[in-house]
Amino acid sequence: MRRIFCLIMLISLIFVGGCWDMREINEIGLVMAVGIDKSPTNSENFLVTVQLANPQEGGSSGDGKKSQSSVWIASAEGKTIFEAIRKLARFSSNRIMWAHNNVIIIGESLAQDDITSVMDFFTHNYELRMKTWVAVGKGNASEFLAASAGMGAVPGQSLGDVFRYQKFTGLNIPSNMLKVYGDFNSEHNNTVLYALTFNEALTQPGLKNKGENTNEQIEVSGMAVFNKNRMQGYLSADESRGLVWVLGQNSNIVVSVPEPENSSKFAAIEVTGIKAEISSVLINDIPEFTVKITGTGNISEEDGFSDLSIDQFKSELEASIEQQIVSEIELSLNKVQKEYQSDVLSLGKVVHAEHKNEWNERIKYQWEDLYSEVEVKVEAKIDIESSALNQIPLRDYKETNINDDQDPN
Amino acid sequence: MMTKIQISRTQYFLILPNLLFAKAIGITAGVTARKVGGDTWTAMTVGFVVGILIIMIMTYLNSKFPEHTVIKLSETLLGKWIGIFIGIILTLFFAVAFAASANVMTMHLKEYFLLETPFWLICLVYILLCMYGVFLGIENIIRFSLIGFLGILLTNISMIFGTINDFEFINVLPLFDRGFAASITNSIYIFSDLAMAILAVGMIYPMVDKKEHIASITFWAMIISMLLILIWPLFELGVMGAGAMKQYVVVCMQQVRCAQLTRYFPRYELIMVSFFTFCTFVQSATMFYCSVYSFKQVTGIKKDWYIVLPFTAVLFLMTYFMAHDHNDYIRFLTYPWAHICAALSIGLPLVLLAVALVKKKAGNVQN
Repeated sequence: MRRIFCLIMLISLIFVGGCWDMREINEIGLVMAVGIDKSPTNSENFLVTVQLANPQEGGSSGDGKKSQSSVWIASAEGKTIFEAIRKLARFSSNRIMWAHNNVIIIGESLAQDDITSVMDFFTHNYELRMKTWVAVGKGNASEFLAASAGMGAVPGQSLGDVFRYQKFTGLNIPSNMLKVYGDFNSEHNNTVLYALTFNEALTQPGLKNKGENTNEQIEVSGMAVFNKNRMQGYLSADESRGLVWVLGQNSNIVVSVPEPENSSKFAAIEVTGIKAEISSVLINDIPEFTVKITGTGNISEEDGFSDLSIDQFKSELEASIEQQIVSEIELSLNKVQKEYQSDVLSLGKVVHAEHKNEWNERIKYQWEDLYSEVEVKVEAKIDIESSALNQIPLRDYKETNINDDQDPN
Repeated sequence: MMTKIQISRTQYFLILPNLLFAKAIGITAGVTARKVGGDTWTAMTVGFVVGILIIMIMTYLNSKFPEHTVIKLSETLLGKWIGIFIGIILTLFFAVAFAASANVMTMHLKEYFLLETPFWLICLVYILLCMYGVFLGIENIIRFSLIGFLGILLTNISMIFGTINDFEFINVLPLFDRGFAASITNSIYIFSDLAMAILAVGMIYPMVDKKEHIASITFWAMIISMLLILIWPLFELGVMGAGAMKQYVVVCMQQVRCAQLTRYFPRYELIMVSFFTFCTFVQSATMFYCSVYSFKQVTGIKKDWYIVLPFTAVLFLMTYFMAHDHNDYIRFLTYPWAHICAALSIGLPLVLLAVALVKKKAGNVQN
C-alpha cells in the first residue's frame, strides 16, 4: 500500500513544480509606473500608459546623465482598464508584471469624471502592492510617464522616492492605495491624492539660460480633493498644509514665524511630537467640532537678533506659531469644507465614534448637507522646549549693551 | 492508526490554536464583517466567550468518561442507535469541515499565488498531503502543532509590525456600533471555527496520555487562541476599515498585502503564508482524521485504507465543488454552515451534559 501511495505522490509531482504559474525573469516586463487617462479619441474608453524598466539599458552613464532608454513606455486603449492592459501585449515583448509598480497616476479629466474603475482594478489586482502611491496629474497622466523625476535612472522608481520623502516637506498627506481605498470604501471619509505638475530643473549648476539648460521634471504640487468618486479641485501646497497638521501623522514639521522684535526676520521652529485630536459635541443634533493640535517645538534657526530673555523669546514664538497653525488649518478647512464639501478630515467618523446612536439614527442621513455648515474650532498648543544648542537668543553684541551674565536664564 | 495512540498534554495544548486559527483570521472575519461591519471583532469575541464555555463543558464530560470519544459517550448516555446516528452526523461534519478548512489553503493559492494552476490540481495535491498525514496517524499530525503554533506567532508578529504604522484607532470605534444584541447574533459565524475545536476535543481527548489539569490546559489554550485570532479582525479594521474589509474573500491576505517592513521589505505575503501553512495543514488533516475515526467508530471497520482511500476521493470532490466558485464557498460558510456548526457544537455538549446530569451518570460511570 505504501508503494501505491508513493507512486501516487510521485505521479502528482509531474503536474506540480509550478509549471502553470512559472514566469521566467527575462520574460517579465516590470511596470515602474502606470498612468490612466480618458481616451482622447473616445471619452468612454481608457488610455493606459505603462512605464516598464528596461534592464538592458538601466543605470547611469559616468557623467551622471540618465540613459534615454532605461524605461520603455507604451500606451493602449480599451473599454476597461484590463482590456487596455491586455492590448499592450500586441507590442510588448515581455509579459507585464505589476508587483513592482511604484506609482499610479490618474489623468485630470478622468479624476474629474470618476475614479471608481481605477480603484477597483488596482485593488482587484493581486500583484499590486497596497502601498503603491496614487496621484492625480494636472493634465494627462501619459505626459507624466514620459517625464523625468528625481535623480534615479528609472523615473517611476524615482517618483516613488519623491513621494516617500514628501513627509519632510510638511505640505502633503501620503496617498497610497491602502489609504485611498480605505477612504473610498468608507461611509464617512473622502480622500485626497497627491497632485502632480511639471517644473523646470536645472541640468547644470550656475547657468542662467534656463531655456537651454533645463529639464522638465515632475513636482508634487499640493493635493487633489475628492468627494466620493470625483475630484472636486486642488489644494495648493499652502492650503494642504493645514490638513497635514491634522491628518499627516508627520513626525515633524518646520514652521517659519516672524521674530518677536523684528517681523521682517523669521525664526524656524521644528515642531515634533505632533498630536491632533478631534472631538465633537452635539447641540440640537448639530455637531460642533474642536480640533486640538499639540506638539513640542525646537528653535532651529534665527534670522535676526533679539534682546529678549530666552523665556520671553520662546513665549513670543509659541504664541506666533500657535496662531500660524490655527490659520493654516482654518485655510484648509475653509477650502475643503465650504468650497469642495469633502470630508477629508473624517469629521463624520468622529461623530459616529462619539455619538453612535445619533449618527446611526439621524445624522448620517443628513451628513452631506450638514457637513459644510458645521462649526469647527481650532486650537493649538506648542511648547518650545529647546533652542537647539543655543542657551540665549542670538544677540547683536555690537549694537546692544545686554550683560547676559546677569540674565538669570 | 488506532493502536495505542497517545498524545502529550503539550501537544493537546498546542493543537487548539492550530484548529482555530487558519479560517478564523481571514475567511470568518470577512463573513462577519459583511454582517456587522465594524463590530466584527466584538462579535467574534462574544462567540469566543460562549465557545470557551462550551469547550469546557465538553472537557468536563470527557473527564467523566476519559476513555470515551464523544461518539462512545453519546452511545453510553443516549443509547446505541442515537450514538450511531451522532457518529454519522459527526463523520459528515468533520468531512465538510475538512473541505471548508482545505479551501482556506486552496483559496490563498488560487487567488494570490497560483492563478493559472487548475483549481482541481491545487485541491488534489493538498488532499493527497492531508491523506498522507491521516495515513501516518494523529500523533504525527499533532506533532506539527508545535511548528504550526510557532508559525502562528510568526505570522502575527510579522503582520503586526508590518501594519501598525497604518493602524487608525478610530476605525475600530464605536464599540458595539450596531448594539450588543447584533454582536451576540452575529457571533454565530465564529462557530464554524469553534465547532472544529469543540468536537475534535471530543474525539481526541481519550488519546491524551496524562489527563491531570486538562480543564485548565484547555481553558488557557482557548484564551491564547482567542487572543492570537482576535488581533486579526482588530488590525484588519484598524488598517483597512470595515468598508474595505467587507470587500474581500480572504481578508487576511488583503491585510498581508498592506503590510510593509521598511522600504527594503515591501511585501512578504509568501513568507507569511509559509508560516501559516502548518497550522492550516494541522487543521485540515485533523478534520480528515476525525472524519475517518468517527466513521470507524460507527462501522467498526478495522482497515484504515478501506476508509481513507474512498474518503480521499469524496473529500476531493467535496473540496473542489465547495469552492470552485469562491462566492458559493463564502455563501455556504455564511449560511447554512455557520448555523449547522453552532447548533451541533453547542447543542451536542449541552444535551450530553443535561442527560448525564439527569441520569446522574456523570459522577459514577467507570470506564
